[in-house]
Amino acid sequence: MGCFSSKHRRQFPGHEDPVSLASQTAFTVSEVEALFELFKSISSSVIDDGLISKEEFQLALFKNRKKENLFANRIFDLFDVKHKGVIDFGDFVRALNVFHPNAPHEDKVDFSFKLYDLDSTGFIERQEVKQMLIALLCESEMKLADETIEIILDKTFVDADVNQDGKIDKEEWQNFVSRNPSLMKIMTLPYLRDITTTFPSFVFNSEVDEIAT
Amino acid sequence: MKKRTRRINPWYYEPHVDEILEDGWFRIDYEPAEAITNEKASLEDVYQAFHRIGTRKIQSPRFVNAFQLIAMSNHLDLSGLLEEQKTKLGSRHPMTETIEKIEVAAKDASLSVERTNSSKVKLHAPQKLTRSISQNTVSAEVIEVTPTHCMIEVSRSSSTGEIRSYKEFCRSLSSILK
Repeated sequence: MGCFSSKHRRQFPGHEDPVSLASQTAFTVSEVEALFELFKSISSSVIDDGLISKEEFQLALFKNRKKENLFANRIFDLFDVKHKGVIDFGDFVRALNVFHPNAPHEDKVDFSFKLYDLDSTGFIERQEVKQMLIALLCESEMKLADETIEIILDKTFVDADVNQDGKIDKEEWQNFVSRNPSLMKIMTLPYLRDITTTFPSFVFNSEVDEIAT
Repeated sequence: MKKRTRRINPWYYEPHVDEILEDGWFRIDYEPAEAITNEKASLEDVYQAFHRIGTRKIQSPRFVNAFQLIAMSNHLDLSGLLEEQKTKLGSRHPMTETIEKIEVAAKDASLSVERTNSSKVKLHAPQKLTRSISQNTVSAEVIEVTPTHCMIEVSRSSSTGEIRSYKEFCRSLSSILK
């Protein structure tokens, strides 16, 4: 166990022990080790420094490192909890944990609220929803009249903004999600359940044996 | 009972629904179906839904909610982290020469070559200092389109394929094929 940690702490700044990470998340030790294989691949794709930069994140997600966009930026920021401009292995595992099929529903609702609260004011404002809607329309190259966009926003806010103060607070969001559960679909990655088969890792067998005994 | 105007052919008898309903056998354990009524729907609502488009009538069922649209963004789909990456390249050379070019490109990208069969090549990253068994990084499959043209499908599985090697290999192969 000591051998693993010290070697990887040198090459991977901020690296945490898989046993500790497993205890904080829905992942088993083997699954954390499998995630490490993925992390290694992504974090070395542009600069081999053991950390995932914004560029490397974009490359991994969109196969295109130049492709910046509103949503990817927001997700990167939520992964980068320490606001260092890079994602370390611990950040990576804890963030992906929220997307695990077994992660608590409240964590997913929480994450999605923060995701849509673009300026982190603690509220999802109408202007932010408009911005995201326009980003989506650009992405799909769908043209909608300004008036139509306003109607969609009106309808959304009538539905979600219960106290009609022009913004959606955390409680209103929780309520809204419970009435529209399909909104949480983006918060689960079913493949995370099979991660040890898609990401075999042979390096850390000793780690697993020690736990088993 | 409804008067039937057809002639009854004794060899071919088609009962009417009412006759079936009154038949003793049919009535065993029979409960008539009940129509489901929606007490809340009124003609007025239907009229409003269809005749008030384009005004600021927010109760119209035809407009989607903004978050449902937003959630459709590809940029919010993280499954790309866990999936396969594929590239297709065309080659104006016959199969054998195409494979030779693949091997040259592999060398450029510092990948070692393993021929699995006559049309597929597996490429491996150089062994690093980890104790890991060599995982095949990238694979290239050659499909003969005509005797002088091939299609190459290069794929990298996120799990084993190093993104950097994959990109280098594709770039190198694409310039060799020109």
